[in-house]
Amino acid sequence: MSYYVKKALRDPQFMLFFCLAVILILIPILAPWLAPNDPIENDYANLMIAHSDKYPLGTDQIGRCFLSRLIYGGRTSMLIVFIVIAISASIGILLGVLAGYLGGKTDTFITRFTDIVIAVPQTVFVIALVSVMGPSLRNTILAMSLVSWTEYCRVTRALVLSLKQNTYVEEGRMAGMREMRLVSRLILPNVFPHLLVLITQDIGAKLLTLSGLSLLGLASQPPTPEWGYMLSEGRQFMQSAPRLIFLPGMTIVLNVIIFNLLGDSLRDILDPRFIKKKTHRRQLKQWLENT
Amino acid sequence: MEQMTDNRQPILELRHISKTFRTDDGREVRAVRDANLAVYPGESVALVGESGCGKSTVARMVTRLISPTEGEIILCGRDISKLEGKGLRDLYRDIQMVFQDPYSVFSPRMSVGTFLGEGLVHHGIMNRAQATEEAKTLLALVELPTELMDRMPHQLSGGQLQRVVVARAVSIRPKVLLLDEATSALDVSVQKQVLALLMRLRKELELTFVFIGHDLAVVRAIADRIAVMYAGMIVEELGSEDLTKARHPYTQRLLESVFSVHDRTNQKVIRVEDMSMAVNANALPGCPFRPRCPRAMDECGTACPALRELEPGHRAACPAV
Repeated sequence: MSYYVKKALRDPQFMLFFCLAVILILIPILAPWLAPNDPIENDYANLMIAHSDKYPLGTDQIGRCFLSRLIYGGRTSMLIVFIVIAISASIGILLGVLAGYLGGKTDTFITRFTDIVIAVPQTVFVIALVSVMGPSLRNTILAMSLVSWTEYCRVTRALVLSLKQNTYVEEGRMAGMREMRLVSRLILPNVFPHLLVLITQDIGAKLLTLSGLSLLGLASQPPTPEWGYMLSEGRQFMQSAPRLIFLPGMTIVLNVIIFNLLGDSLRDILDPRFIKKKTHRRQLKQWLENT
Repeated sequence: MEQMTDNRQPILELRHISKTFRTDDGREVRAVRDANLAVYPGESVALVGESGCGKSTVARMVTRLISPTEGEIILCGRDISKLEGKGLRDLYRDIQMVFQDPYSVFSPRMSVGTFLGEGLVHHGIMNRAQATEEAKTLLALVELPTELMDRMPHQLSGGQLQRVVVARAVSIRPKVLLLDEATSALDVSVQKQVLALLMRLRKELELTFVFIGHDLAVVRAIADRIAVMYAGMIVEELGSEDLTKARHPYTQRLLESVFSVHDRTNQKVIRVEDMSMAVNANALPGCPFRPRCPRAMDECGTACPALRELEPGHRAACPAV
């Protein structure tokens, strides 16, 4: 473990994205202190203003502080996304390991089941589920988790299938490891870095799915601020007040990019064979000079 | 030596073991058939033969990474061929194996120190902290500096890795150590050092060795006794000092095919002949070597010749000798 910590501390790229990601997570958590105004309070004297001392990023069509809504919006959006990914990754990894490691009938059963879930278009499935269960935060999370574990399951299964052939699994068996230990100490640590990339990419995808659901009124309920919903609300005013879609859009993009890059550099750190070569930096410098 | 050991109980005994693999298209491949071998405590026995003769299959059956189709494997007086679950896990306190390629034995994400402690921790001999201390002793035992504790496998050389693997294997003080081509993946100079280390450990820790190999020079250096395998059968068994007395036609061929640094005549004219095992050698009735044997007789085609004692400690499976 200390090996990775040392390596991480020495990697400026990772440290940069790590700090940025921490800030992005802290902003919604510290929202009550950071936000200048109440995100759901209407100020009918100041509708759709672009900028004022009281409202740094202006107000929306019903006079709510836009900056405060952006800050509070992270609470709903990021929370849902993180919970959905945690649940779906857990289900997917568990089923993937079972299928890949045990093989045989278990594998066939899990694989076929996964195929069935994949066959149904995800968004349609989520909309149907939420409509039946009734729109609420809990149901949205549940519905999104129920359809998005398949990718984790397939990738995990494929990786486990190839990793369990390794001699180090046999060596582990000789070292007296039980089956569970073989998986947790030898297979999972070598699966996880690959999944990390999947997870970070999923953050962006889930934020977009969520905004789609919000648009249909199936995720967060107004007036609770949520980035995707803010985006869809702002669409009506695209021409008169473009900032109403520009700002939440940029917030989503920023989050997606930073978590993606964090995942990328984390994967490099977790790969013991990957050592950043100075030549890369030199090449980059050269390239920057030329352009 | 034989007189001394023959009076004792063998520590490891293979009784009529066979292994049949089924290919995807339903064909049966008999990788090992009716192999018999006895290994006595403190002895070093080598299993030699060309690629595909089944020697690694024997190693994997003895360590129960696979199960024999037929026969019994007796280790320390009990049959281990049908062990499962906890019994199988406990088996590895008595027997350990060193694999051919040291690079593949390590999970790329486990440090050398952790790797060395794995056996001790998972066999319940020590807790993690004690095992980490013991790992330093183990590194010293295989003549490696303790600085390597926190290194990752990719930072070590092949020779260093193989030493670490050997250290891990002997860490739980097994009785029998199987060395499956343990030095074949190493450079010649490193190979010699690792061999010297193995021989020293064998004395110090009173290990019994089963050495799988194809390099007769290496095998001669490390083994007391040699068993020659061909097409899944053990065809000759003899003391490593008596290699020149080999009687089985296959062993004789095998010896002829060895290059020598000292013998320059070999370099001028290399006798090339088809040494490859007939593809279906294992499927033939009778002696599998018959198609290539210069001394084949009619009776070789009907019955599988059994090992026959020629003199004490020397047995061959050939009716012509």
